[in-house]
Amino acid sequence: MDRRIWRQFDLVLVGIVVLLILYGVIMVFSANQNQEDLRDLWWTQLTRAGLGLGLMVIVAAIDYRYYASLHRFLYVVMLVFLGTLFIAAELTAGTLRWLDFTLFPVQPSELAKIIIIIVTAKLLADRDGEMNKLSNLFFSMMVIVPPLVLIYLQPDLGTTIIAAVIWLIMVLMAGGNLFHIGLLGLGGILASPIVWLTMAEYQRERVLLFMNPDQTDPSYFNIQQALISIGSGGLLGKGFSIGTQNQLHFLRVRHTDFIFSVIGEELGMLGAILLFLLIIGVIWRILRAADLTKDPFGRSICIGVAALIFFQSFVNLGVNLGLLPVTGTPLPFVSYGGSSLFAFLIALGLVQSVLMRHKALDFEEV
Amino acid sequence: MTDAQIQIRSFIFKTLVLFAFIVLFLQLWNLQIVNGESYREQADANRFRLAQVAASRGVIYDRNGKLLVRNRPVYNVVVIPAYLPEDSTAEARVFSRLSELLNLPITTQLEPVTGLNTGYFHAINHHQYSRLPQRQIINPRSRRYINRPEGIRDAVNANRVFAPFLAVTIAEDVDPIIVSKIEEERLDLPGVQIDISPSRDYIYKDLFSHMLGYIGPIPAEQFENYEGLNYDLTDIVGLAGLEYQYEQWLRGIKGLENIEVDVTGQKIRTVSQEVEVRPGHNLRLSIDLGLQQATAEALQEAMDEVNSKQGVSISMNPQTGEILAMVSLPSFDNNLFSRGITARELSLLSEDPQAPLVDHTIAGLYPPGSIFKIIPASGGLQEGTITEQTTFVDEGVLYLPNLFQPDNRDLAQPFYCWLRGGHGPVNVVSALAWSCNVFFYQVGGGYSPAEYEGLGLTKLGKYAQMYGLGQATGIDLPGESEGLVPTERWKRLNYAETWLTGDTYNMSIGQGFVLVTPLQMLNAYASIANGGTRYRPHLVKEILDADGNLVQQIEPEVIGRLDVDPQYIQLVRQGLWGAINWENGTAAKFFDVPGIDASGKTGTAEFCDNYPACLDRDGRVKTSHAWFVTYAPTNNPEIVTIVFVYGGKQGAGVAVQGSEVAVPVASKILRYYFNIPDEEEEGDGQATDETVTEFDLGTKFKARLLGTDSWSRNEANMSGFVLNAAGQGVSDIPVEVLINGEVVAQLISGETGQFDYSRPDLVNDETWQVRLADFPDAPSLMFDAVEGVRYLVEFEAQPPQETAAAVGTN
Repeated sequence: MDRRIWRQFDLVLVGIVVLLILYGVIMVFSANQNQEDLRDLWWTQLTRAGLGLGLMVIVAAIDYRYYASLHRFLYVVMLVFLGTLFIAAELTAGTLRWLDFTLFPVQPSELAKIIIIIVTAKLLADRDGEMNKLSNLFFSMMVIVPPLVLIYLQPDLGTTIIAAVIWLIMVLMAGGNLFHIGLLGLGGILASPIVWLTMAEYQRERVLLFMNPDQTDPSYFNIQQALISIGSGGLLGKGFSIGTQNQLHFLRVRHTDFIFSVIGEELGMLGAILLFLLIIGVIWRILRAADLTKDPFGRSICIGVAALIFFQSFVNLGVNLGLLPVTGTPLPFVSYGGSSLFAFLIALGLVQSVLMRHKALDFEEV
Repeated sequence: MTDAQIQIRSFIFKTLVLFAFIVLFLQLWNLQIVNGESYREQADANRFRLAQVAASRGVIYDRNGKLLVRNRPVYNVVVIPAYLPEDSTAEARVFSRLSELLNLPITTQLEPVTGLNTGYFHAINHHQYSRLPQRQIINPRSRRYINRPEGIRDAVNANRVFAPFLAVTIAEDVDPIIVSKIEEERLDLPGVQIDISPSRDYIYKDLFSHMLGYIGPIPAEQFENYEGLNYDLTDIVGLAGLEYQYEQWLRGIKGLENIEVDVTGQKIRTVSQEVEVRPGHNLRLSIDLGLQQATAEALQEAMDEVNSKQGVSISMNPQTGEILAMVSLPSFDNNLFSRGITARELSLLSEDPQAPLVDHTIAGLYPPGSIFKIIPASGGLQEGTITEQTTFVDEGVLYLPNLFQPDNRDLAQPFYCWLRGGHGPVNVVSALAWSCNVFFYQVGGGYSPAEYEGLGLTKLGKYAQMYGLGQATGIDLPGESEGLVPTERWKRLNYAETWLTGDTYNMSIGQGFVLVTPLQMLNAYASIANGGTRYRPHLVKEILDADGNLVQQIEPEVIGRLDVDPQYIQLVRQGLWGAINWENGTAAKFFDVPGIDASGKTGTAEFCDNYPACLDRDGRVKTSHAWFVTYAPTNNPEIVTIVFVYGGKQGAGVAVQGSEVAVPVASKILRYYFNIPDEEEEGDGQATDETVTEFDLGTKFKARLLGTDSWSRNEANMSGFVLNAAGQGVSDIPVEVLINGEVVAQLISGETGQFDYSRPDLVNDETWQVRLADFPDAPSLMFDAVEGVRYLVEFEAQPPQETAAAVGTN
């Protein structure tokens, strides 16, 4: 392998991501410091971050174009995983999003998001410049519908929506026709009653709850406590590891979905803005990679990863801030959770891989 | 796509990202800056509470500072559903570990998880069928299980959705050893917490039950009485005895403090104290623990000997009114109440014909018999109807002439002396010493053939009241009875009959309509003992604060004086001295307190609970109570003791003389008090201590269907006990079960007298019959068995002499 390509490795991006991860680790520590059974999670997260960064480097080292040739295989593997999960969930009569691998538990839907990015990127690259045709748009949509349905049936509405939005952004960025997308949106609105009817009871409750808050509901309690946490933080926050909502456990799922509320409470608006800037920084560096890359496949991958990080962050922060109904969506790089962290670092590895090779072509030709 | 297009779309995407974050930022601004203050208030409202601090209840000591009641922490295991592991497998692990530790089923929704043969179910069975509270296995967990037959998961899930942070109590009063195990495994049992609440521990159980009483939640119907006194609906208050009487002293003052709590409401720290908590005051009683024990022991022994089921003994200092010992038998374990008594236990106690819940020392109303005679004696002397020299000849019987035909001797009504042969000539001193009825008939009611006018009813009543009869003594205990000193008007109102001289005769010897409580009679004798002053009897000597400082001393309170000349009181005292110290005094034979100069009076009060079964062949009442009152030393007495034994069932037709039964009890009490060792070792063996394990073939039984219970299996179950007359289980007794006339099972009672039988595949309308195979005379039980029901039955042997009224239940 050509060592020179590592010069293109985006250390700034890695640096920002490391800052985000450390930010998360510190807040996980604060969130769980007086709950004995969860006290050591920050360390777990830190070791996983190290592992994940290694994983990122490995992924980056492999030429991303190699994945293009694998896209059919990856697609099938994804469907098999999601299908297995669906059947297993049927058998255990409950939500089952985890498959227990020996190394660590992986949430297939996290990996599914990345595979959807690769597969969609490949399809878009194959039809580069032709995406304004309705047939191409329709074809790429048909390809991602089966995994989305399986994820939706898990049931995991949040991931389904995120994956759909990633696809939408990727298509638009690859030249999708706005009018066609509008038609699609119209179809979506017409189909929404079907979606509503197939939604799981708790999902419907959550949506209804968001629209019409019922103060006696336990889920309302969680949202309300998150808002109180953030709101009571004020400009400067109550101070690290002394947020009352957090330390006295009024805030639930503190170290995962509601980690932002901990930041808002303990570090205040300044801490929140710092987080926003870091996330925007990550997105910017990835979009920079997209802009630098001439290869449509690599570009689409970068756009997909940026869309993933952007939209998932937006959903998580929106839930925390009471702008969106509750979905179990972790905040990229910050929330505790190995599966999500690995998935995002692998995605970052893909971006690095693209970035490292965006000039290599020219060199070889010269 | 051209580069320009790409750049435009890239620019739009970046703008969208920035726009999204600006929206998020604006909401952040809205929450933290615009509404920040409101959210800060909400956050504070979340964590700060104004909480009451329970004041620990005062404890109670005996006169020597020995602890009689203490506070005991009760450990409850609670689960906070929101803190259970989210993973259902991990949650199931928590439940199964808890189930293992607490011996509770995980769920009872489908079928019982545990089998019949486990120790746990065994404990329930035992609990259900043990009729006598003191024989029940004290297994708090099984008690709770009966009250709330649901599994751990059922309890946790009951309100989980609506109140995930509400602590669910799954086991109350858990063994501290198990509590420490749970504490050790805390990390593996997320969501499980230990909650500590105070409870009352009555150290000597039934020895002081009536006196100390018990505590419990405020009865709903009485809440308004407590409302003005700063009580909460959930407060625990004294409900009986001293716990009730001194509630305001014992309860203390609740503190109020600002605390910080976590989401489960558990206190993290105290922020500030608004009202300081003040623990309740402690009581020091005048009771002597040792004397109380000696009294209870001696009394129970005497009662067992004559097969009596009720007895009372009180000792008091006649110079102050301080009660030294106060025993009412049968008793109960008041810890049952402080733990939370089950409905079943309560009904067993309250339906017991011997009324173990009633304090017979102050609420038992009995005819006083001969111990009443001090009243006509002192009344007659004071009113001048008799003098020291007045002598009547007792021929064993006094014929009261018929009111309308005074000359017709056949119509005259005979009034007997207890000594059929008569006492011969008697004066007031010897009449008291010998307890001569004939003398007092005349003193009280006069004797018309001799043209002697006695005291008459009015004056007799006046002196009875002077001695404190017919009115509550005002002892510091709730529930005291007033007794009855009858008047002419009373009889006319209640019986629509005129008062007759015969009624006065009866009253003069403490029979007839007059009714007293043992405490009243004791107090009457105390006033004789101390020379004429009636003090209010009291149990509490001192009220101390939590640091042991004296808050209030209870001083002797005079409630009355005898309007009787001291020389007449002295004559009565001579008679009482004679009863013990003359060779032929009524108590001389059985009174045995060497070295102590004592005086006293015996009494044998005839009564008839069950007319005419209580009459013997001659038509005389054969059932009688035994009384004995004594004070010692005769000059300047320190202690006055009364003993009462409810009519025993000794011998056929021979009334038990009070002296024989009651005097030895008092002797033992005085011997303990004056610290005189027993000279001869009495053969303890022949008492009824030994467990009867076999019956005579002639034994009569009483069979009872105690009740039913739900049985969570597809079968009907019958369980029960074979008990001897003392209420102990008897093993190896064959029990037959017949269904529709056919013998279907032969059971043998187990070690505790227990037998069980279950029958699946029930055909409708089966009639089960249960009988004792070896005792054809014993009644059998019949009932229609239904699936899913457990029938609790019992065969109890009747004491040999009693004409057992066997009651068969449908």
